[in-house]
Amino acid sequence: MITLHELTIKKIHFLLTSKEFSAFDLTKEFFDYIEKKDKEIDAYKLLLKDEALRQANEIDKKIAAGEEISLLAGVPLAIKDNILIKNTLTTAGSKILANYKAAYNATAIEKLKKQGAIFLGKTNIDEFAMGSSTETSAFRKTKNPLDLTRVPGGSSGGSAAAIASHQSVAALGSDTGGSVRQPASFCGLVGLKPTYGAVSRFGLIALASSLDQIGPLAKTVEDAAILLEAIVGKDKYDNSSENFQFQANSIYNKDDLKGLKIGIIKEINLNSLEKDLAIAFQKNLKQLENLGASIEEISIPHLSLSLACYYVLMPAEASSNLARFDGLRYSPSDKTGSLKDIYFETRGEYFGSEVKRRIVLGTFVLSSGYYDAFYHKARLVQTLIKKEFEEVFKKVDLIVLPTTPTTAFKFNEKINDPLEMYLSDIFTVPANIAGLPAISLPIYGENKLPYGFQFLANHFQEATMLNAAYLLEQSTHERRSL
Amino acid sequence: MEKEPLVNKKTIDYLSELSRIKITEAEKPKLEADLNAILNYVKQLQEIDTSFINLDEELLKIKTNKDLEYLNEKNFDFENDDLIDSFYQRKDKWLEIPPIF
Repeated sequence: MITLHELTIKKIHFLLTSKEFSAFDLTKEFFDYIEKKDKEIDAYKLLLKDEALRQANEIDKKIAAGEEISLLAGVPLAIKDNILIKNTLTTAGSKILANYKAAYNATAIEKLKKQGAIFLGKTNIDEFAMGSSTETSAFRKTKNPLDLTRVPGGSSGGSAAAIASHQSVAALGSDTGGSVRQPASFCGLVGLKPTYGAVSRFGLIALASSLDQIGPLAKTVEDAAILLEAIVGKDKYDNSSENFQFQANSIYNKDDLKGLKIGIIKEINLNSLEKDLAIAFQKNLKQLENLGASIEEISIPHLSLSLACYYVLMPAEASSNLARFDGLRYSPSDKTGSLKDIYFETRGEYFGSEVKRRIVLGTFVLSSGYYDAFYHKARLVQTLIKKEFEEVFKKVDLIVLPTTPTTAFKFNEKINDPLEMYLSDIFTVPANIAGLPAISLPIYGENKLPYGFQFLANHFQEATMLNAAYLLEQSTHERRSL
Repeated sequence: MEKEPLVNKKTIDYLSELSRIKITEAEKPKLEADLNAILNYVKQLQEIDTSFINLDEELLKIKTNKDLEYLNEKNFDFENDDLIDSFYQRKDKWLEIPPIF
């Protein structure tokens, strides 16, 4: 009997190599469970059962032959439906890609495949990753496994819900403004956004190319670290990728935080937060001090403008990136007439309202007459914010802040007020605007629903960040069994 | 005094044209209101002094891959045929589209 909710990557590796169960049995067990459980959660858009079982068989053959297998071999993962797996339907949550089959693997997928990871399926997402609740998906409404009346967060909501309901061990998501960390926070998980350039974006359907990063969601910091190690590195297909290596073992580098300087941001007034969040946050801050870290107040004067920058830069890039969805390529359109008619009719009918809103907004801020006042200005303020972070990281090693201002909200609570929805990204967007790595850990106040505790580090300082996150996780026992 | 909103019905028509998206009459009022709300929020950027920021200098810091390896088709491990096969209407290896002129 396999107990799915207790599994972590290392546990699976141990149980497979000690022949407690086979990769095939494990994968089969997951699909049996998903077939029952996902009726309630709706985390998956598509299951890849045949291919997954075939892959699992391959791993079992290797184990039987006494071959050494990698840590991720036979480990079942869920993949956000904007990351390409060759010959597999990839919709990005949009009707405009309803029939699109990927012609190649994303680099992150290629790397995981080489390690023998098993892909259970593609998870539901906000359309083209535009949303914070997964409600903008054209296909289904994913529920938060911790409270079915609430959203799982977004845009990687399906990935988060799949893990939190034990329908996967871990998952890949993508984070443009918080889309890995915010759903992780809402579902009581660990969510990691790597430094911009750490992970290749090749094969990730682009939202805003200068901000997008693929990142892992998992139950533990250790699992997130193992996945990060597997997917980082320079890729010839992504010119913005960097020659960066990460060792998952670096999370055990130090046993305490002595000598580590952690900054709390003056501009985030803890008293203005929800009381329960303030309690949870302070408790963990205290714990970091107990571990030996010194906490000091730092200032990022223009931090609060990150969100305004984001809602100019992201739609601008999206309007350009999504121009390729024209009804002629990727997925056939049923529209006829002139070329222009096909564009208008296809994009008008098959893009959802949030996507249209952002494309039109992006078109506006790039249009002649408004470019300088909006797009160019946002780039200038972005640079200002980057410089402020640069200065702060001369003084401290890490910065901590909450991941989200609230716990998971209810369905339909924000969907009709875009600005209100956007404001739920206020604490996650700065990392994207400055290209910094960030990780969210689940923390709890007195309510039963989790908040997120977020670490930010300087570029490519994932090792220091994950070491601290690991120690905090281990010391607080905050991770409740879901 | 109420300032003129940045986006009105005419702007929406213009943006619809520019972005090649058909926007129905029923969609227009909400889109107009949403855009004005968002633009009013992001407008706070304009009050910030950025006169000392030199964006050109920042852009120069972005490293470029000089060997442009990524542009060389010979380095591709995947088959162009796979991409071409995904065209739903094709003539030989070309994507077929309605006449432009």
